[in-house]
Amino acid sequence: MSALLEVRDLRLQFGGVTAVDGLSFEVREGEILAVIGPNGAGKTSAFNCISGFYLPTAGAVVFDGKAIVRAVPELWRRLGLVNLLQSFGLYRVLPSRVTKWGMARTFQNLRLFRELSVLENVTTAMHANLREGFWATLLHTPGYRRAEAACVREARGWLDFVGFEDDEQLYVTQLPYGEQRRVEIARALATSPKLLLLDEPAAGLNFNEKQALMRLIRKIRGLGVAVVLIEHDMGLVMELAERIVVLNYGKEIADGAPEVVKRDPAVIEAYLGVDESEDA
Amino acid sequence: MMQLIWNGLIVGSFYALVALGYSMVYGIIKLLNFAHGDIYMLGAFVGFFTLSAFGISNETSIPLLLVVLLLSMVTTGLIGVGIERIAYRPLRRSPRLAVLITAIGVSFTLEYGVRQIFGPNPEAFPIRLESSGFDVLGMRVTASQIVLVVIAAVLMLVLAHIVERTRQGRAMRAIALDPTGAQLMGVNVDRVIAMVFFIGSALAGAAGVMAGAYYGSIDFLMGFIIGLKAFTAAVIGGIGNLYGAMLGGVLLGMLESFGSAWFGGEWRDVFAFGFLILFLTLKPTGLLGARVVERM
Amino acid sequence: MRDLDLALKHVPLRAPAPLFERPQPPKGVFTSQRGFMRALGLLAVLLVAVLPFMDASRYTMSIATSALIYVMLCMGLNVVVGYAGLLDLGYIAFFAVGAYVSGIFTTVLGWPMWAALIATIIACITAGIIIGAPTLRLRSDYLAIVTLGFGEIIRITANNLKITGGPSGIHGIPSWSFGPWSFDDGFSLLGIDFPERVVFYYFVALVVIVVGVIGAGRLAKGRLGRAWKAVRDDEDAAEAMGINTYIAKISAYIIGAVWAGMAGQLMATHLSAISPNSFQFLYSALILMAVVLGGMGSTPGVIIGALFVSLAPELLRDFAEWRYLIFGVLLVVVMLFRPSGLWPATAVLPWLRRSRPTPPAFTEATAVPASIMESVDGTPTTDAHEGDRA
Ligand SMILES: Nc1ncnc2c1ncn2[C@@H]1O[C@H](COP(=O)(O)OP(=O)(O)OP(=O)(O)O)[C@@H](O)[C@H]1O
Ligand SMILES: [Mg+2]
Repeated sequence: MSALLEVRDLRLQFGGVTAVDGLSFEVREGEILAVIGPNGAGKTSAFNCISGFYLPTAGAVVFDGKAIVRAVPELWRRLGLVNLLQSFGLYRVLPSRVTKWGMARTFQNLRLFRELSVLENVTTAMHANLREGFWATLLHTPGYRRAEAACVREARGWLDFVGFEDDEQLYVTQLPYGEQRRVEIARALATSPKLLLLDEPAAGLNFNEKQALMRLIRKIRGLGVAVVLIEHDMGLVMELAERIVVLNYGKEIADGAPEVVKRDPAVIEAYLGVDESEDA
Repeated sequence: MMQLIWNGLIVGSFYALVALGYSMVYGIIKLLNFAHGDIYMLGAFVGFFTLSAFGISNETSIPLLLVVLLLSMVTTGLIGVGIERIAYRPLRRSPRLAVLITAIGVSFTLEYGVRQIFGPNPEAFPIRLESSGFDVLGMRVTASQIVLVVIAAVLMLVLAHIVERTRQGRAMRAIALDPTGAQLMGVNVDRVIAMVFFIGSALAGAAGVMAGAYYGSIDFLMGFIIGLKAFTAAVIGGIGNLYGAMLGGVLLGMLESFGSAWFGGEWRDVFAFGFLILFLTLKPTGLLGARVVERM
Repeated sequence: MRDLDLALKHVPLRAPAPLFERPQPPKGVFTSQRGFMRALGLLAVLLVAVLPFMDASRYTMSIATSALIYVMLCMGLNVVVGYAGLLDLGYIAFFAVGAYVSGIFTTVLGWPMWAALIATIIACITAGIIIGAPTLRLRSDYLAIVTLGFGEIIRITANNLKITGGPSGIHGIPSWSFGPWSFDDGFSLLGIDFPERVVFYYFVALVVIVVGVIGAGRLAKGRLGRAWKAVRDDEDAAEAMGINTYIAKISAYIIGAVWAGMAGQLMATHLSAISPNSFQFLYSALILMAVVLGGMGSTPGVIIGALFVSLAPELLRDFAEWRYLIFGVLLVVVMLFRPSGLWPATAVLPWLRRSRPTPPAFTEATAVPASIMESVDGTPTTDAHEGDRA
C-alpha cells in the first residue's frame, strides 16, 4: 500500500524549546494510527505542522503526493524575507488548502463555531466543495438553491452518521460536551477528507461515550478514511490502533504495532518517568 | 538639520512616554488600549485643574512643574487602574472585539466627560516654561526643552529599572510570556496588571503635563492624535517591547520632523500613518520585536 | 444524486444519506421567525414610504434622508464588524472616498453620475485592498488602528489638496439625471407636489436599503456568509475547515467599502456639497456605536441602532449636548452587560423559543479563549490522564 501521509525529519522550534525533534512516520491509506506520548511531548505541535498551521523549522510533510512544507529559496532566507513572504501565503501551504486536499482535523480543546447552529457548523465545513457564487447567492438562482439543498442534505447525512440525535437548530453551546465532540467530528468529515486527524477525541468523555467513539472511528475507517489520533487513554488506543507512534520530548521513541510498542522498554520508561514527576 | 533632529527628539520623547504605556499594556494583556491617548489628555487637565484651583497662572517655575507632574502622574495612574478594574477586567476572557469596542467607549467617555466639565474650547495651561534659548551646534535650544527631555529620560530610566530589576518587573515579564504559567507560579496576575496600568497611565499623564507646559494650550481632543501616533511608535519599535517603544517614539518624532520639513507641516500626520501602514506591511514585528508563533 | 454532483465540486467522500427526512420548517407569519421578520420589514418599508405624503417639508425630508443614509452606512459596517468580526474604525473614510470621487468626477471632469458611480466602486475596491491586504493577515486589533489611521489620512488629504476643494470642500454636485429630466425638476403625484429633490433621494435611499437588507440577508445565509461568521467565531477552526480566512475577511471588507462608497455618493448628490468636516473619526465611531448598540450581526438591531443614533439628537435637543458622553458610557455598559446589543443576532421570537434558552452571543462562559489566560492547549487533558490510569 502507498503512503497517504509521509512525515520526514520534522523539526519545530519555538525560540529555545524544541517541540518536535526529528519526527518521521507515515500513514497508509485507510489505516488507524495512534500518536501517544506524555504531556508536552509535541503531539499537538506535530499535528499543527502537518495540517499547515505551524511552519516547521525543518523537515518534509507530503500528503497524497503533494508537499505541505514548501522549500524557500536561499535568497529570501538570506534577505530575511521568509516570514514576510510566508505571512502573505507564499512558500507555504495554507491550512485551508491542506483541507481542500483532503486532510481534516479536530482540535484538542473543542473549537466549534459558537454563534452558529449545529447544522450551520457542519454546512460551513463544506465551504471548499460547494459551488455557490457571489451573484448566485444574491439572486437566489436555481443553482444556488440546489447547492444549498444538497449541502444541507450532506450535512444531515454526516450528523446522522456520527450519531447526533439532538435538534440540529440548537447553538452548539447548548449541547452537552459529548455531543459537541460528535459535532466536531461531523464537521471535520464534512470537508470530505481522505485523512482525519483527531486530537484527543476521547478527552472528557465517559465510558459509554468512549465506546461509541471507538465504534464511530471504525465506521469512519470503513468509509476508506485513514485516521490518525492523539490519545492518552491507553485502553482505547490499544484496542483501536493498528499502529502506534510514541513521542517523548519531541523525539520519536517507538513506532509499531500495539503489542510491540506496549513492551518497548523506552516507552515504559517514558511513561513511568512522567508519572513520577507528575505526581510529585 | 540639527534643528530638525532636536525638534524630533522633543516630540519623540512625548510619543515615547505615551507609547510605553501602550506597549506595556499590549505586552501584558494583548489589549490595544484606545483610551490611552485620553489618559495623556487627562494628565494635562489634572495639572490644569490643580493649578487653576490654587489660582496659579502664567507661572514659569520648574519645581512647581515637577510637583504638578508628580500629582498628575499619581492621579492618572489611579484613573488607569480604575478603568482597568471597571471596564477591562470583566472582559478579560471575552473576544478581542468586545474589549476593543469597550476601549473605544472608554475613550469617548473620557473625551466627552472632560468636554462637559471644561468646555469644548482650548484652555491655556497655567505653567509656561520660558522660551529664552541659546544656540548649540547650529540648533536653537531652550532651557525648557532640555528640562522636558531630561524628565522624559529620567522617567524611562526609572521604568527600565522597575521592569528589569524588581520583583514586580519580573512578574510583569512572566505574565507577558505566559499568563497561566505565571499564575500557577503564584504571581498575582490581577495585581500585576493593575500595576502595569498604573505605570503606563502615569507615564501618559506625565507626558500630558509636559505637553501642556510645552505647547501652552490643552483641549479635550488632544489625546486622540497622539494616541494614534504613540501606537505607530510602538509598532515601529515592536509592540510589547519597552525599548522598542522608546526607540519608536524618538524615531517617529524625527521622521515627522523631517517629513514636515520636506513635504510641509500639513502632511505630517499623513506621513506618520503612512509609515504605520508601511511598517505593518513589511515588518509587523517592528524593529526590536521578536516573532512569536501564536498558540493555537 | 445528479443534483449533488452539480452542487458539489469533485469530492472524494460523500456523506451517507440522512437516516430520516426532517420535517419542513413552518413558513407562516406567526409560526416562523423568517415569516414574521419579513412581515415586519414590509410594514416598516410601507411606513417609511408613506412619510413624504404626510410631511414633505424640506427640513423633515432632509433629516429623514440623512437618517436613511446613516442606516445604509451602518448596514455596511455590520457586514464588516457584525458578520466578519473585523473592527473598522475608519469606515467613514470609504464614505468620504465615495463622496469625493463622485464629487470630483462630476464637477471637475463633468462625467455623468452613473459613470461616477462606477468610478466610486472601483476607487473603494482599490482603497479596500490597499488597507485590507497588508493588515488583514495580522491580528485583528491592527486592523482597528490602521483603519483609524486611514480615516485620518483620507480626511487630511481631502483637507489639503486643491482638487478636493481644501477645507471648504466641493460645491454644486449635480443631481442624477435621466435624459432631459433630473431629480431637481420634481413632479406631482396624487395632487401632492414633490418639488424638492431631497424627496427623490429619500426614495432612492429607501430602495437601496431594501435591496441591501435583502442582499445582506442572502449573503449571510449563503456560503460566503457562513465563512464570515466562522472566521468571526474562530479563525483557526475556520481555516481548518477549508475556508481561506484571508480571502473571506478581505471580501467582507471590500463589500463594506463599496457599500459605504455608494452611500457616500448618495450623500454627495443629496446634499450637493461636501467638506472634510463630515468625515471625522467621530462619525466612524458613531456608526460603530449604532451597530454595537443595535446588535452586531443583526439587521433589525442595526437599523434600530442607526435610527436611534441619527435621530435622537434631532428629536431631543437637550440630549444633543450630552450625546457623545452618553454614547461612550452606553458603549461600555452594553459591552459589559449585553454584548449582543439591543436586538441580538441570535434573538428568537419569544413565542417560538425552544425548550432550551438561547445563549447570548458571547458571554464569559461561551467566549473562545483568545487573549490572556489562553488555556495552554486544552483543559481536558487532566481528565484524559484519569482514564490513562484506569
Ligand atoms: N506557540 C507556541 N509557542 C511556544 N511554545 C509552544 C507553542 N506551542 C507549543 N509549545 C510548546 O511545545 C511543547 C509541545 O507542546 P504540545 O502542545 O505539542 O504537546 P502535546 O504533546 O500536545 O501535549 P498534551 O498531551 O498536553 O496535549 C510544549 O512544551 C509547549 O509548551
Ligand atoms: Mg496536545
